[in-house]
Amino acid sequence: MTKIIRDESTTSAYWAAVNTLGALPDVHIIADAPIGCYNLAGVAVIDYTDAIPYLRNFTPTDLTEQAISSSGTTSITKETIEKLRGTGKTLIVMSTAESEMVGADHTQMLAAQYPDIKFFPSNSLIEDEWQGRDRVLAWCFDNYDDRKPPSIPAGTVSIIGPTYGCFNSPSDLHEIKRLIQGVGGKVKRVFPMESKLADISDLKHSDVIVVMYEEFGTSLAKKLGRPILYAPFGLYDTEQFIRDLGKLLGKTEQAEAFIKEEKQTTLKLIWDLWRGPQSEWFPTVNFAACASHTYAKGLKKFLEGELGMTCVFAENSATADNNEIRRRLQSNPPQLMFGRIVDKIYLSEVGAKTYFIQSGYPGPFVRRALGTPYMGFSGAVYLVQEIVNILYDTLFQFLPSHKATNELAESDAPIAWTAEAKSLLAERTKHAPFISQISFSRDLKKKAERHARNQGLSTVTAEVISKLS
Amino acid sequence: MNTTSPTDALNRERDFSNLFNILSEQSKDDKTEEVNLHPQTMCPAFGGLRVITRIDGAQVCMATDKGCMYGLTFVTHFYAAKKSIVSPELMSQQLSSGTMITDIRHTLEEIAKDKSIRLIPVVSLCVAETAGIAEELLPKKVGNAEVVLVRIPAYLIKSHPEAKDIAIEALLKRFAQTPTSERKKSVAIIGEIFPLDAMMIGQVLERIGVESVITLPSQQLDDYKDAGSVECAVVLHPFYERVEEFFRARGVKVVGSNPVGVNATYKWIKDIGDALGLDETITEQVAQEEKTKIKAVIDAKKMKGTVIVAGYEGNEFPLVRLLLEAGVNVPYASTSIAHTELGEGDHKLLTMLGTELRYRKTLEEDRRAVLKYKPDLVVGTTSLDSYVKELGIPAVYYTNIISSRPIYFAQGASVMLDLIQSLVQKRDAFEKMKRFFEG
Repeated sequence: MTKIIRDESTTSAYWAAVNTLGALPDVHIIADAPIGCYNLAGVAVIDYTDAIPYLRNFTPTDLTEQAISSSGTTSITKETIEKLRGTGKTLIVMSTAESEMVGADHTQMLAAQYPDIKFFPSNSLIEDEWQGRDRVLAWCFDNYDDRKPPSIPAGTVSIIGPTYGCFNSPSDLHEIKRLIQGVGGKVKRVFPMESKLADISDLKHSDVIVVMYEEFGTSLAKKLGRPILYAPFGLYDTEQFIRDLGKLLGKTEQAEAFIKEEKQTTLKLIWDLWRGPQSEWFPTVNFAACASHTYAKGLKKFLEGELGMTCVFAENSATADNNEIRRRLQSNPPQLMFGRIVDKIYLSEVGAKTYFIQSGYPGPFVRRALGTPYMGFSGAVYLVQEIVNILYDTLFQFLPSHKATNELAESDAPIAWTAEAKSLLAERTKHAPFISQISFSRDLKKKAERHARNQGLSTVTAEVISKLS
Repeated sequence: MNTTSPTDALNRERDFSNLFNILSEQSKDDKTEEVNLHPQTMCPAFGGLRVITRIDGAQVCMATDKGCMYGLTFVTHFYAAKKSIVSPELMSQQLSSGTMITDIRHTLEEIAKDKSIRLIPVVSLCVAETAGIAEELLPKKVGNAEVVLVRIPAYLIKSHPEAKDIAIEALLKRFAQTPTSERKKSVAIIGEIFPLDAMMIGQVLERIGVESVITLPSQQLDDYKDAGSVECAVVLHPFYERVEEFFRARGVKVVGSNPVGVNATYKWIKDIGDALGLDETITEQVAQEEKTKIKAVIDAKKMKGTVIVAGYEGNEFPLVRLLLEAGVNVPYASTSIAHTELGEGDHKLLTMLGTELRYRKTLEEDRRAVLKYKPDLVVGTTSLDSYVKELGIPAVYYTNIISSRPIYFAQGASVMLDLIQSLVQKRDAFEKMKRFFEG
């Protein structure tokens, strides 16, 4: 049975390794790669996802036809190593899908000739980016931890967090640090972002480990032998996270005080909107999400489970079939779509009126400012604020304006409607956003009558309705 | 409180500058060999995808692995077309069980269920090419769709412009009409150009008596069909060697170069007139007029300063020609493509005028040129530009800033020279920003 992929939205373990090891400034990556695998992962895409002009600590062997068909990749790998030695960096050689195709494994060559350089097999023809991130982080610990016994200062928390290519991670990381500090914890280390490879030995000297994403980091966290917490989404999980962390750090009182203070400050907006008319829209609004596992699950939990919105679907982008996502989006477009550029494309193919909110990769999108979290209390507040503003804008779109039209010039000769046409009109109106159904229906009615007049008809039939976009 | 952000970490590290200093030292010392590490091109396959995904009624079927498909789909959706790309899964499992061809065939049938699809380019990339795709095992047609195999593995093609050449050649070989139906005074223009430039070319050629003009790459499959019957192919960019060969082999006259700068524009118009046997007096008159107009623009916009042009689109050297005519010092220019016969005219001219040229350049070569020539402006790649901006020198991405503007004839010269002039004048802003982030 052929598996047909539409618009691959989850990349391979090779990219995961580049995005993870590339975040460590004391590492220099040598990828046994054709030029395209260098350009796409290290120059083009990283600029559109992370706003990094290009990855500085990354060099390809530049696989040629000769290396692939006859000579093998060992000599060009050695040449590349020779050129990069003396830069003071930890060199790491990694395979790519293409070098794996020709069976290039440099483990033994490196062990014999360059014992300080390790080979990371990317397993790119087997693993996806999330599996890859998880494995490369654990591999870093296995190969570069100093093996000293842990010495744990009280109250310290380390975060196994973002690599490059983790959507919206600067804001979420900022929020997780804020929560840790609110409980009275001290952020010891964030890995890999904000750290060097050598800092991996620091992780075990932490009271508690927070893993930001369920899809990767757990293997490394488990090796550290410390209690593990996962970064929370929504009000109730975040409250629980703070309590759990307080307990683990022996700071229960401070945790409770922090929760109380947050409800009066950071979270006050949600309580105000909840008591206001805005929140009454939530049960009338539907949304869909397709994003990373943590994001899709978190959005569903908060928007559906806590705010009462209707979730059409919330899919993990790594396992979702885009053929199916496309079919569902096009047959019944949701009012809000938290998705990727491919979802935006599918919606635009049918001219859907859905509000699209980029919430994952792929797609060029800058999320480096710190004020747009989805996680934690700040994330809940940010999401609610965004949604209310979108609903305001929906309303704005449907209010009458002085837009120039030729409606006024039309004759007022009455036009009849067939029963079938009427029911079609009602059917279409049902699919319009709830808060704008009245004006939607009126607009469609006018459009149908105008269309009928232009065709010289005195009756609006089902056929006329079906011709309206 | 820990306030370290990823940006801070990078700025503090300055690892890239250190690396470059080491490289620079290394090449200064004993080693005569230059240390060159980072070839400058997009993934070559992207060039082919840019041509074929834009064709109306085309649905690309990619044959490649997960990581490759992710990256190429990403840049295609950003820089080529808002269209789906479809692929049979091609990972270890399929490679080891040998189902690739069957899987591609199934995918083609699935795509062809959509009757509006007229063309399915099967784009074969590194992994699929290494596994081996036999063209005869693919159908020529499925449903309403023609199936065309386009082989563009990155390890074989060294730059994305050259993959455009391969893609257009594949389409022409399949669709171009037989030369017996040749239409007199018809021209195919080869090369991606700004829409206004295409309009200007059309107007000028009409004035000299050309009766029809097709431009390739085109969004219309019919243009590839009609291109088979043209009398003359005008190849604007030097990397279209296969397309040139395609036309020559069919006895079609080929004119190279492009209407940039005073003398080149005059010669270009005359060459097309000669190739088509058009009225000499009229052609001469139009060529003189265009030449005079460009000269007036260039004379009015003479400027000083040193500019380095180092993009990777393969069509950089005409810009160098224009800048030199306007009095700009261009000591160094580089590109991603090879030195070709079609580019020989520019090569000779620019070399004679003292510009050091590099083909198949690496980032390190471009950086050395920047250090050596200390330009007032660099028109480069994103990687080079970020280095240049760290030095406080204005830099722009050739692909975004130059390719999105007209450059042909007097109008193009005017737009381009104004742009360069304004960028050179931005130096203060670049220096100030650099100082701010150093402090």
